[in-house]
Amino acid sequence: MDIISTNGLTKKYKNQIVVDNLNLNVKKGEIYGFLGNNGAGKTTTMKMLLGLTEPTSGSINLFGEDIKRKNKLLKRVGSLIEYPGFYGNLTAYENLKIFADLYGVSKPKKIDELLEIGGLSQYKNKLVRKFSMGMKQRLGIIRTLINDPELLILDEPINGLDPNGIKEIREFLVSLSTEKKLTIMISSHILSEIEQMADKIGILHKGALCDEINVKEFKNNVNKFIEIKVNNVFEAVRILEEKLNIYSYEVRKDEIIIFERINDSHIINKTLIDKGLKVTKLYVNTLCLESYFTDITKGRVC
Amino acid sequence: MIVLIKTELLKLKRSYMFLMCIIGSICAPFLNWFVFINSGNSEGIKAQFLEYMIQTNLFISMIIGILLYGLFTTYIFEREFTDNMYKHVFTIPISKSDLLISKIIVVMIALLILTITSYCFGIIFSLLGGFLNINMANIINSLIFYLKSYLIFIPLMIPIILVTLIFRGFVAPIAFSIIVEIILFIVCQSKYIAFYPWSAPILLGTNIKKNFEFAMIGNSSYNMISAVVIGIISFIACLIYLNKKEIV
Ligand SMILES: Nc1ncnc2c1ncn2[C@@H]1O[C@H](COP(=O)(O)OP(=O)(O)O)[C@@H](O)[C@H]1O
Ligand SMILES: [Mg+2]
Repeated sequence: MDIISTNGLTKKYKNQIVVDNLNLNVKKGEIYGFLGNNGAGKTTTMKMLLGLTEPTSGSINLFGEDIKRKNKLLKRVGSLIEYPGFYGNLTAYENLKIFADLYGVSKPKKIDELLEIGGLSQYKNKLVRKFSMGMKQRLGIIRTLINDPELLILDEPINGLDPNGIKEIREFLVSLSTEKKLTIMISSHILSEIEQMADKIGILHKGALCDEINVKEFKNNVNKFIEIKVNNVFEAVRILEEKLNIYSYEVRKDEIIIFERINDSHIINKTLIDKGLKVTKLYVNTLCLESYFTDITKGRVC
Repeated sequence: MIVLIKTELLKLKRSYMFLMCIIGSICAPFLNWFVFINSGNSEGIKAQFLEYMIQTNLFISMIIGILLYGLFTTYIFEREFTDNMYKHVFTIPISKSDLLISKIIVVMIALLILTITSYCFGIIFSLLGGFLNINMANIINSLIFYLKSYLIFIPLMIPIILVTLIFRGFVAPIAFSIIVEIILFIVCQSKYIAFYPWSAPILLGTNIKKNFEFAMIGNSSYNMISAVVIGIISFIACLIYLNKKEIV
């Protein structure tokens, strides 16, 4: 079942289309990375998912139900939108207590458990006003778990954490998804932050979903290609087609990029040389997600 | 609802604002005490307790109430904006109307504490100054005056809530309070006093109207009713605003 599914979700502010006809599907237990540059519309999308702002058009289903019946569904969701806010004059414990009370969570141990998980036990009675950015971020993340949610919606939650902190949070989120079957939607503008944990990555560019990448599949196949540099591109292309039946290729300036028969690079090389061409470069390359993402966001792909 | 009120009260823990307001509510009887001590001494007779208490309540109704109580009310509604909390709070399944009502109840509780503080310090200062006629009847009489102003202040706080919600910040509600205050100063000296809602605490909570009766148009029920009406209209406007407008 899809935990999140949107249909033609669109948001306009005045004349600007901020989210453009989005059809998202996030499956149970999945970690869905929502990638996009600043201003791509990630926060706006997540706000709509949480009923914080109304879509201009389109519909949203959470747990298979329309979010018009929001209150019932929100009980099952934990969320963190942009920088977490806290009551600065209260301690970490008191801040969590307020949320626990409002959700009607009456397990007194829960808060201590969460503080433990977030590595904040020793700061339990410290005023949040005196917390560092990273500590607040952790506190914000554990706060989303106070109501034992089935779905987490996290908007750039690892912004402002140091590399160790990022690693910890990443491992923690992955464990939540594998052990508790929690579904997690996490946004970021930095691929490397989510690449290692996401099962699927949706790339948002100027409000539109450009591509959805199944991370495992991407790593396994589609991403390899052969780059060749020869003295006569025109002749080389003819040989590729006629002698080797290679049609899946692209010519970029003086280079040929071949997307098929990746494992036959030595045959390609030999054939070209036998035909008297000078091969100055032959290289099996892996397209990394990073450059793919850059391509998309620079408008080269969609 | 009880939970909401409880959490609102918890949010006031260690907050300077409430402390400041308590100090402010002690200021009124304290400053007036100096006036009365001196006026009494010059003629060799001590000041009257009831008169001192009523003058103090006039001071509260005219200045402290509108400015300080208003500031506190703003604080209760504004802090979710400064702490960037509404976007978190509104993802919890709680009703916005309940949130509004519970915050108003907290304002009511706080203003009652402030009123009682002023009242108690009024009595303490009277005892210290040796004012005349501190008896049971006068103690109860003055309490009634204080409570009347307190009660009519509650609907008058609600327009401030509306201004706070719409303009998000301290500036607009403070400007609003100052304008209300200035008009009050002008209206107070005219026969139209009964037509200005914000003079209701003065008319109800002091015996100032004795001085007006011959000249005043209308009577204190006019502005009592208008204060309540303004409160109700603002309350409905707040409800509509909260439920219609996206507060994130
Ligand atoms: N309340 C708003 N009113 C008008 N424009 C907005 C509002 N919120 C966001 N935007 C615009 O929508 C675009 C997307 O913003 P946002 O969803 O915050 O992007 P992201 O989270 O991906 O950085 C931006 O251009 C931003 O200026
Ligand atoms: Mg954002």
